[in-house]
Amino acid sequence: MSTAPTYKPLEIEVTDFGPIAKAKLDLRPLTVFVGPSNTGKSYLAMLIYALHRFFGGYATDPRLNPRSIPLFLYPFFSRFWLWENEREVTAAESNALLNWATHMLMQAQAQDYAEGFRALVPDEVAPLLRLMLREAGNRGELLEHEIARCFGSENTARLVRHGSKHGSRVVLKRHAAEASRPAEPFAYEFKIDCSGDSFSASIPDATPLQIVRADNDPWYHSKLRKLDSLVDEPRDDEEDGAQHHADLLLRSLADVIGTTIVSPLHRVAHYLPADRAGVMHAHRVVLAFLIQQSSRAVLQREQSLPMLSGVLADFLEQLVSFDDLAQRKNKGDWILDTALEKKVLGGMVRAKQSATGLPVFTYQPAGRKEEIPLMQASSMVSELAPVVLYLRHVVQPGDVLIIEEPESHLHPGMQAAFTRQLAAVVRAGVRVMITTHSDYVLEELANLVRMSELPKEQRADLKGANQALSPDDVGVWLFEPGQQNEGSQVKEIPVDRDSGTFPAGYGDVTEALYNTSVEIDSRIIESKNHT
Amino acid sequence: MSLVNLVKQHLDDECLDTKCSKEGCILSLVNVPQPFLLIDMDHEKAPIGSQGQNRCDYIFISDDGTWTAPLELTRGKLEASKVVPQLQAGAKVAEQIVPHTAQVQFRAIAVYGGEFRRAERDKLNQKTNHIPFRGEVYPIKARRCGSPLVSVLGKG
Repeated sequence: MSTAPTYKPLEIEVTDFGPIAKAKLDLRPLTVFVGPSNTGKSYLAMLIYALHRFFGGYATDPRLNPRSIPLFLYPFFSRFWLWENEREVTAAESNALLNWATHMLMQAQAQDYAEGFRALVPDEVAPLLRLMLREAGNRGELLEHEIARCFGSENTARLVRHGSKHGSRVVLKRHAAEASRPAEPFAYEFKIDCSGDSFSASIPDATPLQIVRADNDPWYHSKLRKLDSLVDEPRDDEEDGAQHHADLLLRSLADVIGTTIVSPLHRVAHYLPADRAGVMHAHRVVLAFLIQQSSRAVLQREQSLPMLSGVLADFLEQLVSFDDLAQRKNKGDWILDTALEKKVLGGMVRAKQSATGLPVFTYQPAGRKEEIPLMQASSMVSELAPVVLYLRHVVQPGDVLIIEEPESHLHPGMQAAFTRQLAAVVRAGVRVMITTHSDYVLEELANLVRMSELPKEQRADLKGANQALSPDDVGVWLFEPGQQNEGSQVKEIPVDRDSGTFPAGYGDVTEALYNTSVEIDSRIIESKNHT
Repeated sequence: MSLVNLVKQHLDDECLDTKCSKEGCILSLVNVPQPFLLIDMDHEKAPIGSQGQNRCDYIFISDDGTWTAPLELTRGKLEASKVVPQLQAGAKVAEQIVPHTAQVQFRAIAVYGGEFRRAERDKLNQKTNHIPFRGEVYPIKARRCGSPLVSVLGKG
């Protein structure tokens, strides 16, 4: 089974969305968006967050409940879906399904968990699964709602790029690798135009369906366990019972395979918006106002409730649920939160329940016994406190952590130190996406990538030696503004070997400032000589 | 007599060029001050002074603006340790070929590929890395390959 073809990385193509004219990218363990303001970095990050919620852990967290399923796969998780579509699983199909699933799971169990695993779906079973995966294309309404919610927009039409002729398009493509002949990719396409929204799924017959378990991916571990329990379930010999068993098995397989196609969008994502520090200070006031307005909504029907973007609302929702003692998760040797406190913050961040039931956030500087309210701590502490709390209470290996402008309020030295801690988070198995305007973040990141080329003994004494990242694990995408409202173009920028950093255009600013300084010097010399 | 003609009297025309390009790094001459001389310092007929192996790539001289500018081009990153000796050598040659009576505006220019990093900027800012010309020391201007020369001369 391990000889089956694998898939290429998921391609995400975005056209005419917000300020973006065209973006084509794939998501890496560390994905970085850079570029001038108003070019769509946060827009794309929020869209990707919405896609994660739709294709992955939206309805329920699959880690908490392995039987939960992603939203986009809901339609055929009705027991009667096959019957409604006038399709029954034949006895031959049912047997083929069970035999293959049994064999595949034995192979998966025999494989070291730390290694990847892949298995090709046989021809007897693939048509049924394709039928189910195509049906997922009928869930466009849910995706539309989720995108609009994340952006705090009344509808998705407002998100189309101004001046666009054809509306917005978001296309996800998954090509099979090592295919003996070129095959069409699997594709999900979401369109927004003047006629409304549409969502379609393309699951070509000729492209092989496969289960691909990435290295150390806990999601697949839990899903394969669930499949295993289904295979082992005693079968009812009655015709209805056999049909039901095959039906259950098919649904679970569709879950695993459908999610494989959209991976890594199946992962649970968390979003830390740019205004997180202000929200942390003001969350009690904001919540009190929202509660007050909600209770008066019946009496004041003409007044609408203030809208929050989904990313901000999700962040706020998470904030109020923090409780340091009650929620600290047992993560074994997971020390990322304390490492960040020790190496960057110089103190500890705490969340405690107050008498009102809402948490109070405090900071205890290293070497001092008393804690101070977060709003009295430095702006750097306020900025990074949510990151510490998320790493402590929320984020787990395999999750995605999206942080807008993590360098805000940080001294350049701290920006570099924080970048190294982010790399440690990535190395611990968390996928990270950031938007940034920081040359220092990019330079340190480039150092960490280039450091990975050195043997361990040669880099041991360098700062960040233990956080080196492989070039394949890092994707830096530059957002370049277009001419005359044409929208921005997004392209990948690899490390420039000559200058040793990612060429994001910050050098142009450095050069311009420097040349102005040189020109002033030169003119001072000339004016002195002329007088 | 104009500055260009004064300098040209002592030059072999064969070392003059109309394109500013070395090893894939180009400096555009669009809209440069006219008339001008562009001396290819790598040409065998170029005046090399007494600076041994060090020499800049070009010296630009123009009547309009009375510019005198040694140019050093590299497709790779800007490294102060490499460009400074070349431009210093170029400035010495310029001192020899430009008549002392002519009042000129002097700029030493390094043209590079890649990103301009702050670390190199800090090195270029050190006085020891400035370029002596007629008793004064001038800091080096820096510009990316592909840029027009006119955008460096006399502009911030």
